[in-house]
Amino acid sequence: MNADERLKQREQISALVDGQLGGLELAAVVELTAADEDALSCWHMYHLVGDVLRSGELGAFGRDRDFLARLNTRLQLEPVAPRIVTKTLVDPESIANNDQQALGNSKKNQKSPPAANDPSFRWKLVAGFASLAAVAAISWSTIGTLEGVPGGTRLAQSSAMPAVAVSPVLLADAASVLPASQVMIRDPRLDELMAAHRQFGGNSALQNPSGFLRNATFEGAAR
Amino acid sequence: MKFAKFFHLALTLWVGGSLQTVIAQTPLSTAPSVSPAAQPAIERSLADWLTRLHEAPRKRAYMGTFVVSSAAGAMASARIWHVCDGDQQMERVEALTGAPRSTFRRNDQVVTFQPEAKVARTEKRESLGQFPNLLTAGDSAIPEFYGVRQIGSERVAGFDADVVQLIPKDKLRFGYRIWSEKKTGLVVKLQTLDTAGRVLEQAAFSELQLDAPVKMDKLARMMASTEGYKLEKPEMVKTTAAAEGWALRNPIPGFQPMSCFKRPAAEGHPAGERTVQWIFSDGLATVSLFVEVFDRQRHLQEGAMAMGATQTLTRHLVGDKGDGDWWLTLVGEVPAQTLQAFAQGLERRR
Repeated sequence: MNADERLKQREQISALVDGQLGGLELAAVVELTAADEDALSCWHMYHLVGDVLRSGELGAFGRDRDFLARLNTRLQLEPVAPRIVTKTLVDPESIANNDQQALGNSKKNQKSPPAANDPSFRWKLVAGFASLAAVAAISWSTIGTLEGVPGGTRLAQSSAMPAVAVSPVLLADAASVLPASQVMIRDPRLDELMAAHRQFGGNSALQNPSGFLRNATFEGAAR
Repeated sequence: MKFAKFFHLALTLWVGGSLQTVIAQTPLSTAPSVSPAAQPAIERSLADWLTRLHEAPRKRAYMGTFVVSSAAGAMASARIWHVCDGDQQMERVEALTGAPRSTFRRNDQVVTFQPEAKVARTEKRESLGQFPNLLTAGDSAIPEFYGVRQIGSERVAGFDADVVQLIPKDKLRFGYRIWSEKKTGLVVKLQTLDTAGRVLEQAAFSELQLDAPVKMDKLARMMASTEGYKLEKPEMVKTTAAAEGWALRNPIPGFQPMSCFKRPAAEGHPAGERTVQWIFSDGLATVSLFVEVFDRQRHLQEGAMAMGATQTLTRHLVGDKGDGDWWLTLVGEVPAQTLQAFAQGLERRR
């Protein structure tokens, strides 16, 4: 693939992410993206960029695909339901046909949905920061991990038990500990104990002046 | 319009903070972007510094905006009012992020209002008064475990500040970089650094007005106006670790036991079973050990987690004294390995 083709593919993926494709074009790009490793990671990256534009907290990257891979593995382990679907659920051909009809009916009246990065004033203002924020968010995910904590491995091991809620699967990035802000489901009891620690555990020379402010500011912010 | 302004401010702060901390990933020696020309005028000892930092807010009235951000990108901010009158200090902290809440403090008395839940929590934070005695008694072990280095000066929130680094002498504690306003000594910015010198969390005034017209009687009135609020008072019972049957096999260097409490049981837990909180401190960092009776239903997962500078560790402790298993939760502003050392050293003595 030469540079021009690649650029065109990127534009198509961008349009796909923005929900601007329909009909045969949609089907073709979906097929192409699903088959091409590079295009797929590009698709993920565009979604990440969109997420970061909307909220910095969504800027966790690199686990979507691991998660999908794990989800797939786990789904295969699930007991098979009595009714087996033989046909692929998403048939690009049929999407294309249906869409074509729909488009044919109302093409004139239909406005395509706006792109996430449409040139509206606010997005423009934010976009400059967002590229920095994306860099920051990605670098943090490496900083946030602690090296060689056995607890992390245990977390990963215990996540193999299906009885444990979904959170461990999302959390368990083997041998690493995730910063709390990226944790999706938090243990309310742990929050309680952390609050208790902040209240009665502030035996620090830095507690007054700044420790108290830090705790009062941080307290409950994560709840 | 107002919101948009705040939004941009917050975003700028957040991105600025993140960038700064990204820069701080580079080795320690190059981390602070401090002009080398600005040589510290006075060399102070660690004890001098800590006393100066501690005394500063006792003489000043100020208001400002305080921003706390963690390495993971979480950010919280609050509006701060501070005033003092002889031996009385009052503070008002109005959270700008998360659930709305206002915290008022008069010396060690703290009231937290949660307007949405209509709950006001009152508590006495004993630890707030302890520190000066620690240093003046002359038996402080802080200089044994931390070194101090003055690394120049920098401007924060419009004020010239001395930058001081507290460097841990072992891997059991974090380091701190402190920005102290030159004239008053007030801490205007504080970073917590992990054992590799990377910033885990930073707290700073983004905007500060020193000698602001803050009225103590007005803060006192606000703190007392609990009408319409349900008053909550955490039920705490003082105890000792020995009385609860717990001991540390090997002391963790520098960490002294400070106090021990029994806290009310968690909801749905058998009545009479309380969580024991055993608190340790090395003078700057604090570790809490929480021990409760193991409950197969609730205590599913051992693990470790970090939130800013605060680390947590949970462990299932198999009892060998015939009184069942235990669930241990450790929380502290210390490296994960320090929590592990505590977890390994905890022993049932009954």
